[in-house]
Amino acid sequence: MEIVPHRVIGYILSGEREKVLASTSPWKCLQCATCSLRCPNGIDVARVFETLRQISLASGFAAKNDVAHFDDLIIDSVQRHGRFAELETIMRYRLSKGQFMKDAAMGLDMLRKGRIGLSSHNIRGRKELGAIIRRMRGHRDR
Amino acid sequence: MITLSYFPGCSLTSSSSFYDRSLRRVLAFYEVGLRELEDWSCCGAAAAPAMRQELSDVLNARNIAIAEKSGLHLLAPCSACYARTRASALKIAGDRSTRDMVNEALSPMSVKGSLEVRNIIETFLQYVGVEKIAASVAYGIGSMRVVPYYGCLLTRIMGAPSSDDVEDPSGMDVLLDALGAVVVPWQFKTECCGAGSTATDRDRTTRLSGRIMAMAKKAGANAVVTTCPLCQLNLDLTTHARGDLAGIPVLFLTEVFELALFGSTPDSKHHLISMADIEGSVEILGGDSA
Repeated sequence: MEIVPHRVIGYILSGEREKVLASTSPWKCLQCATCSLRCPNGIDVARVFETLRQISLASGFAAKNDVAHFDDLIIDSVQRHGRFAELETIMRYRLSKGQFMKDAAMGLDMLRKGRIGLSSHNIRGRKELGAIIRRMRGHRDR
Repeated sequence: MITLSYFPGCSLTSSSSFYDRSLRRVLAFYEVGLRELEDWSCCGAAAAPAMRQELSDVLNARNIAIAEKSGLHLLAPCSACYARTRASALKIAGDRSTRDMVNEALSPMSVKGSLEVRNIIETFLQYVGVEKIAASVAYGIGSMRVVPYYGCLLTRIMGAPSSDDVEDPSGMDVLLDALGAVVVPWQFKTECCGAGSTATDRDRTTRLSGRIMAMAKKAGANAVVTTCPLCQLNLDLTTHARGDLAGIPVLFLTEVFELALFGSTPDSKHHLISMADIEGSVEILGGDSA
């Protein structure tokens, strides 16, 4: 992690906004929340990191990163289908990265064992839900 | 006989559809009825709240609204669906501005946040009961030395209390013990598998999931048992990076139920790490209705 969690909290306290928002640290966090559970100062660190992601995206400081990109494709899928279409989303991600053969052996094994959802289901309420998601993605200002 | 509202979630309709089938078979055996949420949508997992908190709450509120109309408790077997739905329901019930926001966004749907959400462990403990489970065992699975793996989101739910101990959960241990498996103590019950970073940073998922599998092996287990579809897949995928950890299959809790109740599971072929040895070691118990 570029800036470790307790230093991130330190920088926030000392007001170094840009340094924190532009770092890749918020995107490295897996949101496992172990730190939130064990923090001796009672800080919900995972929540802080989640909020940093939201602010850094909204403020335009966000470091270019794969996690935000993949998240975007997931929400895109939900906007269009109402659900997360696994294969379609992963293919779109790989294509956008030019990674045509990455993890091919693993992918083939998963296909063979039926561990990749091939078809995507469209929910009946996808138009209404899609419109709501489109509107909420439109203004991320906070 | 009880009926629950059922939210399978995206994983159980695609990469882990065999978990959905297994769960349905086992709950049908115990006469727990499932009514799938009509036209449910994705919970947004970690992607929606990373973008905007309101988006996450609205996505969950839609499912909660559908579930509340039924008046039934909701079963969400996927840890992400369970954690997100439960946290949003509590927030909608307790915070008026969130309640107004989601109701305005989803109108004419309406949501109160009164929904009771259960994971699969809670479902077995509360609606079936340990005594009934122990009494229903027809096959001996005493050769299974299992480590129960809970992962992050079953107990560490942002904004919601856990129904189990957060550092040392035991709900699954109790169930596995009742089924006749040998529960092996270990320290990695709630470690993180790497979550959704498999697509973006596979090395990290491999490292984190590999640690968990290595610890399972060190503890002397011959199977890992989990309830989360993403945890199961990440641990199962270690077979492609860690040849040294071969031979420890990762089972869904409901598959262990199937082995103890029916002697086998028809969907074992979907495991990346073969569970053939485990299936082969199941013994018929004398006298019972096998």
